[in-house]
Amino acid sequence: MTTFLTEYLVSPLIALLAAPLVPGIINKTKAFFAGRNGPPLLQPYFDLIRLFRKESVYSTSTSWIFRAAPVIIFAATLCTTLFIPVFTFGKPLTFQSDLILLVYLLALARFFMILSALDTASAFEGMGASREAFFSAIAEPVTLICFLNVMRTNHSTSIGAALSSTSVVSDSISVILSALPFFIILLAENARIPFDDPTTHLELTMIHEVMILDNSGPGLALMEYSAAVKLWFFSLIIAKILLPDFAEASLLQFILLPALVGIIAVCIGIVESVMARVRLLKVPYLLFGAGVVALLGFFVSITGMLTW
Amino acid sequence: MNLLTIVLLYGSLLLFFGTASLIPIFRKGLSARICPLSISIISLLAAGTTITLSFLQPCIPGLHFEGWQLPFTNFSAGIDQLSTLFLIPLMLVTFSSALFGPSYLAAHPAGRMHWFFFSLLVVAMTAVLLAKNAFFFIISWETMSLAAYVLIVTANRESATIKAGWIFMVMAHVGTALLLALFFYIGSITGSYEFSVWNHHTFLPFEKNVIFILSLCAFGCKAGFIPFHLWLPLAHPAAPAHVSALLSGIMIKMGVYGIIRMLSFLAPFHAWWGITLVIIGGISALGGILFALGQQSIKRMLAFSSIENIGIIGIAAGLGISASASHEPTVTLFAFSGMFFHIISHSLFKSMLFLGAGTVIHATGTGDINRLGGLIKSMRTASNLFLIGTAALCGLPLMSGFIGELFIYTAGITGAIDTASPLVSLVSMAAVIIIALTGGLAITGFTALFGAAFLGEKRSEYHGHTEKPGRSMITAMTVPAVATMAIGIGSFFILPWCLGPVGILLHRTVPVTFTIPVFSLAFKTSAVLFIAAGLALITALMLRIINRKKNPPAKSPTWDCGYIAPDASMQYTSTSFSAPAISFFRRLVMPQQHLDRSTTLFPEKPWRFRTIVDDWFITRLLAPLSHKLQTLIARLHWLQNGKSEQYVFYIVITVTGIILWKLVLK
Repeated sequence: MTTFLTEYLVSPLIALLAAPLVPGIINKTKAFFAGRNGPPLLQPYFDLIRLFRKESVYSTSTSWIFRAAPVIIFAATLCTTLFIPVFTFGKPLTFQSDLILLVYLLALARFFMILSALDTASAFEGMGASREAFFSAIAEPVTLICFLNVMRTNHSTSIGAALSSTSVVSDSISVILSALPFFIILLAENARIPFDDPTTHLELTMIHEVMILDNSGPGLALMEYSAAVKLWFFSLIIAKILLPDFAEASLLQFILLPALVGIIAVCIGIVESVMARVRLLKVPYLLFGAGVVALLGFFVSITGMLTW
Repeated sequence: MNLLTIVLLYGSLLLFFGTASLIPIFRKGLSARICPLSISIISLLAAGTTITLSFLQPCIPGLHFEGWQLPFTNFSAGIDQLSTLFLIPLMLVTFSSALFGPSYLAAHPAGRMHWFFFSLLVVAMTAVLLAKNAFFFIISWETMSLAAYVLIVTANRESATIKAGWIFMVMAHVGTALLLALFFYIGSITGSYEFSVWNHHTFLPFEKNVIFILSLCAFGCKAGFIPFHLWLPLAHPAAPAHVSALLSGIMIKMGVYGIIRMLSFLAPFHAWWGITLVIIGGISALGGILFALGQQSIKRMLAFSSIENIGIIGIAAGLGISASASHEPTVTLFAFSGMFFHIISHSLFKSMLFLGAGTVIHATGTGDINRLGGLIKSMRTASNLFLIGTAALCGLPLMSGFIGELFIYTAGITGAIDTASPLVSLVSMAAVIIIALTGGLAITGFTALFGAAFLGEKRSEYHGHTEKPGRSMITAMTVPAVATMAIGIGSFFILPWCLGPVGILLHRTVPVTFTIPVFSLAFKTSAVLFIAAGLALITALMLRIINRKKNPPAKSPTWDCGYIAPDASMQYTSTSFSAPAISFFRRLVMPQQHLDRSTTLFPEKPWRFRTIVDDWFITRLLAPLSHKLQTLIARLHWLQNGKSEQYVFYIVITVTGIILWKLVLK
């Protein structure tokens, strides 16, 4: 039991503790670019605590799905962190094609997110749900190609094993072709600019925020918490790809890995500060572009197999 | 001994269905209740026996027994693991459909002989699965098509139903004609019409290619691969709900069974068959789900989604074939076991969804998603069961749909990453991308369906039969729903069913060591699913503890973003929900948009905007083509003018021709 706790539960526990820090860093970066002081770094934690202490209001239109959705979404999202090792001593749950379970756990979360939005009978939430559903449908194959690129360079059919092996991605071309589309997917899956603007104030233009309009109290807290965990999860994967060989399995990883996650959060903040949200009609093309780049990475590794 | 039991069981089943179904000829009122009841009891017994025996003796070596000897053929039949795989869902779905039927027919009366043809359909499908002789097979096949045709056209007296039946009939007979050609071709090569002879015959590469193409087209018409899918979206909505469940859950799988049975004679496979199947499967999967997205009727949407799932089965088959041609055992095993798993799982959840659509139509009087809403409040159990089916269809974890896709994905991932052959890598990657895109679009389409029809607020007043579905309807839906969840959570229990036919298909015994990764994946997936469920429980408990300290949750209307008079008609409909996807893929789907705008400066009547996604294979391809064909053929009308003396004259000409040919030949 103790080995189970120390080996498998390290990643989810770290995710639970550290996840709200990522939006905190993003907000601080954006404030810096706007010339403001910004909210404290730990503001997301305070928000979560505040929301958990509030009471809930449920719409009269909703059914059990609306009440169960935050719990299911939170559990499914947290479960995905089981597969990705944080440090080398935290053993991930690895098995053949674990990434499918991972991607479909995220899909399960999305499914209930969409249904809970439609359950409120609000036109705005339906609009957000529609966008979320369609953009994620386009993003899903792109995500898989990105994962497969990383796994192919490591010759491993398990994403957990691929990310915990000592040399995740060796040459610079593969690093770029793996990490760049992943970063675009991170922005898309987590509803960041240029796909969605988390700070917009017009319901008509939102995707993620409008879907949780009717959530309140602990339910809203769980939704926000799962969003943070998901952001942490994607940042961690990119950090693992970028982590240099020499830092793996040495004490250096305890400094470098958190630093990389922090840098990725800063990058998201920079992107959000210098870019505007693209028109919703253009979003599929952006995702398509990411897919093409990722596919290029795959073909580069296929050409190595051919005899010329 | 066990085999004998199975054979006796199915024999008695045939006998009983035959006699039971004769009752409607004599007494009407009584038979409408007794027939379906007896059918459901017997099919449940048959399902139970087959399942128990397949667990007691997992390796059925295959049994062959001679039937009636006829001058040109004999009705030999047999049962092996491939038949068992299809028989179990057939019996389970028959049970549910027969249980569901009476209450549905009470509100939507069908033809007098409904239950006769229903049992005939079931018996014919059982015979197709047991047939071990080409003639027996084709007779059963034709009986199956005809019984299904009668069930479709006697559903109601609408012209759309007659048209649907007509297209079904044409497609069925295109298939049968090709099937005859296929069987005569193989018969002329092997000199026999016994499957056991075909099984041991070594075909030349050219012969193999011809057999593959012919069987793909012949059985493709029944399975519903695009472009052979034409009848599916018309016939499934036209038939009564419990018949659509049987058609979509089982009958289209008979096409898959036919292809697999033919392939089992042909091992070792050619790589290009696999590529062809991946392409056809990919087109069917993507096309099916894209057309499904634009539908407004629940049953039409489900019908298109069946095309999608048949496409996924085709992709899995193609992946397995090309991997087996390139000697990649792991990919082959995962692809084929995933395919067999998906066949079982799709049979269960799709028939359940059709029954669910039946309850909706029964309760509300409409199957138009955009007119429904809030059903989860008025029919809670049925809605929750429908949710299980929807989740399974989207391939979400905890449901059977996930496990099938997981295995197919595993084949694709292993093929894309861990093989020495670039061909398998490329085919696998294509398969993974298509299945992922299809899966994402399935979530879009079916959250739209479930969200619009079952969640939110009621959009219009219903004029249905009853407010709540009866107990027999709920029971009929519960059985496949529970089975779907059970094999989704404990998939390893039924893995022997899916691994057994792989050996038959590949014509060799699969070593036990090869099956270990499949079992290990199933076990580990179940373990993670338990962890996820545990996490959800812990979160729910903690939330409960947090909430307990406070006042009970307050109730209020949905926040209306400042608008003061929100209305149920303002909710996002299913059509508007899937509009972004439809407009992105508009070149493939070709939606038609109609706008009735008023021309006056001050509009007197409201503007109306409609988007219709029609199956353009019929409206733009088949209709003009058949029109041209008709004008061409009209010139030959004088040949068939209804005068018997002229027909006799044709016979004279034919006989003379044969005599002359014989004389010249000598």
